Amino acid sequence: MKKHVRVFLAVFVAALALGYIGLRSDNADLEQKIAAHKAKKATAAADDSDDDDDDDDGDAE
Amino acid sequence: MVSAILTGLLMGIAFGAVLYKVGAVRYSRIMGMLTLTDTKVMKFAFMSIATGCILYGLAGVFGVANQWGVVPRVMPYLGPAHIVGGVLFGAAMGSTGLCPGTCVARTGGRGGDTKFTGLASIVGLVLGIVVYNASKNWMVDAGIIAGQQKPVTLYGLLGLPYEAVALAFGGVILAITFTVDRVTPEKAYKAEHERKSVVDWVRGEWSWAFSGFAAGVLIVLATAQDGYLGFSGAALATVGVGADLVGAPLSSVPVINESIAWRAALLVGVLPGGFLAAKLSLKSEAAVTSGPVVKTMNPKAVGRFFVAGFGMSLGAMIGGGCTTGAFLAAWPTLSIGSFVMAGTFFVVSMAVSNLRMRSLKIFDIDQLQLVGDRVYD
Repeated sequence: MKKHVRVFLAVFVAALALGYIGLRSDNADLEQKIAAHKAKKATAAADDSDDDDDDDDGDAE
Repeated sequence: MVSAILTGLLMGIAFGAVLYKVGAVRYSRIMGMLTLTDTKVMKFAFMSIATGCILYGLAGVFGVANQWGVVPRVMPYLGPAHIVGGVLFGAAMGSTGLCPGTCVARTGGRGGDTKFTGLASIVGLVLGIVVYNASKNWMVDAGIIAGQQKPVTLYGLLGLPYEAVALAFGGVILAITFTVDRVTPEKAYKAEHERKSVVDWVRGEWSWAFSGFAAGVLIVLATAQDGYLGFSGAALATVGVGADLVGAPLSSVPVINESIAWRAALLVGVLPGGFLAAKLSLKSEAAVTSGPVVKTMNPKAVGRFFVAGFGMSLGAMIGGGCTTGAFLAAWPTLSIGSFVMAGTFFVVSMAVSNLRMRSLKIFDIDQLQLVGDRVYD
């Protein structure tokens, strides 16, 4: 990797880290949305699991 | 109006120069990207997208996005139009290695060894716009273009804030870019003399990292000017201004306002941008050794570039954007429509370029690069 490309990589990683810190610090709205997103995913996973159980029951019959 | 024209023109000059300096106007580089034998332009595009994501994301995180006018404009989801337009656009790109922006920058830079191909592609581009304008209502009625256009986004689907998804997406694209850099080849064209000073570095071909960063910054700057860096929309605006000047306004561009003037100036600026970049650039060693390029007339090539110009502008107009407007500038907005459009045209252009070169028995990237080195193509 060329030297200037490494510099760009370092700057971009630092910018991403800065963005992450900015996002997670004192951002109640974001935390709420992330929690809602996680809950939605968990509900979807539980629904899928229920469907799979139904299929298994069907196969068993 | 004057300031809109001037800023649009300056943006066009700068972006045209970047396209020329990174080599995105070179047939050998684009065919290299589409055949994965020279991924410089691919890395340039990814770097530009990562830059856009991070800049928009940081502006949002630190609460200055509205104040600085850098809230991304989302390209709407157009349904099957992305597939129809993407196929048309991809076929044109795969056969010539051009998109609307690079065809204008290439014409300005006067690269290649055939006469009138650049002009032919621009004439085709204009014709594509005229045909789109005439058939737009029919395409809406036929269901090809969605009548109700909705902005569907990745962050909307995930139910998360734009900034969080943009930064994460930027990080993923950045990781892909540096992985591609590690595992795929990039052709190096040797300059006429070793580059030592800063001036030499500026005059030589620019790296994908610097060019991608510059393109990303320009895309965000365009948003800050209440504009959008996309060349199919700019081509529509340019043809619209031309049609208005001759007293036959297009139905798609009924009024010439500041936004239309900015977009038209953006495309016009690419021409001097490519020209100036070419004039101020170092030549390659091969170009100096072989002497001045004698351009020849090749009617088949002229016809191919004309048809490709037509196909790419019609395809971009139907599908909602070109390589710049539906990829470089649109992916940072996390628009689902742009993911579908760019995904379609890249798959099609890769298939078309590989099939075309193999069926014509011209699949020889080394030879393409030898010629490209000599004539900047």
